[in-house]
Amino acid sequence: MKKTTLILAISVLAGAADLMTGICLVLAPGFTLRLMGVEVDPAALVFIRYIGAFVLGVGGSYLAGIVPAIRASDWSPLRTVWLVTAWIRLVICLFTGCSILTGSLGPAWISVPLTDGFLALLQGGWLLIGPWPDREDGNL
Amino acid sequence: MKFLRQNLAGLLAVILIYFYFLEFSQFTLLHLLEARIDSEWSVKAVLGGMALAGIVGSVLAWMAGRAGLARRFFGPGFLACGLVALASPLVSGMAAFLVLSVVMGLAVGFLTVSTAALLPALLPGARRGLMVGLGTGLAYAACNLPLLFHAKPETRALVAGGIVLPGSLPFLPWMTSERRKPLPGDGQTEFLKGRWHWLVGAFVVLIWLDSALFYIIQETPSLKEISWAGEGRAWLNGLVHLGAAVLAGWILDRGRLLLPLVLAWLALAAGACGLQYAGRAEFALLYVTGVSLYSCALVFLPSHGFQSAGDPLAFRRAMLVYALAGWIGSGLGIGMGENLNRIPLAFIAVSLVVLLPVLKLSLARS
Repeated sequence: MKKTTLILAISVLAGAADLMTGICLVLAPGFTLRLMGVEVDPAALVFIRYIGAFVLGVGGSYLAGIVPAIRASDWSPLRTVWLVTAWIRLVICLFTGCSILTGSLGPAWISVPLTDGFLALLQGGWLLIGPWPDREDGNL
Repeated sequence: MKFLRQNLAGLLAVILIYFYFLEFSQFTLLHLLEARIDSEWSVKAVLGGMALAGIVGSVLAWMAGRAGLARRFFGPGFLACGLVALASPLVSGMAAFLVLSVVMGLAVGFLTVSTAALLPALLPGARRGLMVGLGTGLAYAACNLPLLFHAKPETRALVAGGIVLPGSLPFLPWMTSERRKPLPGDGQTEFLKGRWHWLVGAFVVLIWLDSALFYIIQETPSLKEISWAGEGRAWLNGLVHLGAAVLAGWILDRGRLLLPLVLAWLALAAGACGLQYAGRAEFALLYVTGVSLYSCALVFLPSHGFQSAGDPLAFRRAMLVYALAGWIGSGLGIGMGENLNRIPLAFIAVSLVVLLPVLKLSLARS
């Protein structure tokens, strides 16, 4: 697989997963959380919708990088999207991870720190040592 | 405004790395460990792990510098430092402390060498010495604020992490930067060429003296009382740190590259003699002055004379000075303080012999 195809595939998968999760959390928070195995007080559902809006925003932001990469072979916006979303994912991973460890969130939430932590490491690590199409040292 | 804009990144980097080192990595992690695990062996293991990782981190920075990749790891380095500090009050097992100390050693080793070697990019303005002095002095002064100086280790760890973690953000965009590989020896100063080993020797001696004296002051209640006790004393020490570091930067900007080292040795030697043999509080201020003088030069000198940032030779110089003087020198100093409980006069005399070539060079116009 070409490196550019792999970068695009990762971006589409990561973005689409968050975009879909965000939409589901906004539209049907109770149902979505049950799919994750999480039980939430109905009074808290409005805050779950609020979190869903953030998740939707993060997922959608990948489009801002994917579109210029496909249409104009401009890979610079996607590089910035990877950097910013890696930071956001790291913060989410740490917060939810610590909350699970200290007991304020149930173990059912574990998929959140695992997914975000994995993507933060993948995106951050790739930016550090991986090839990038329009970076001078793209073929390291 | 332009001057500030040009130098903001460098000033921030110098403040962050010194603040983190002084506020957290030097002693706070060990204090947290001692509070949770009552074993002398565990302290030695964590100290050893940290020192070894620090040396490895310094070597990795040199290798990354040679490959033109050091900038990319700069932001993640600060990020790792911040995370270790924030995580440290939460852990309790020996294995966790060992992991934290190794990650911290790697990150601090990498960042110290990279900051010193990338200084022409971080501080591109004319008054580089002054800015390094200001950053060094502000970090020392901040750590001497009574609120922080007398705070519990948990608080110090959270403050260090809470400042360094967001402080890494301005450097994260460097992760996407292109590989920059300048030609070796580009614009290196003739004055320091071939004389760097003497400077490494001088820094070993200075850091050895500093670490031994610091340990002795910390472990001797009467010396600790006259050196650190009281809010007024902490403020005074902080101001003297700031003044001495700025003075060192000003001297360095005037081309007297080795004068701060000679002055630092005089201040440290006089401080050691005065505190140990006369027990007078005034000599603590000499110690404080000496520490700030050489600390500024430690960051400034490795990249001095290089026009472009990240020259492989600047990385090599920084790696040698931080790995040998920074990590090994401080270990030797702590060992001396621990085993002898004093700095012998003979050691001060021997240190002068090591410093003689630098003294001789400093008399020549640098």
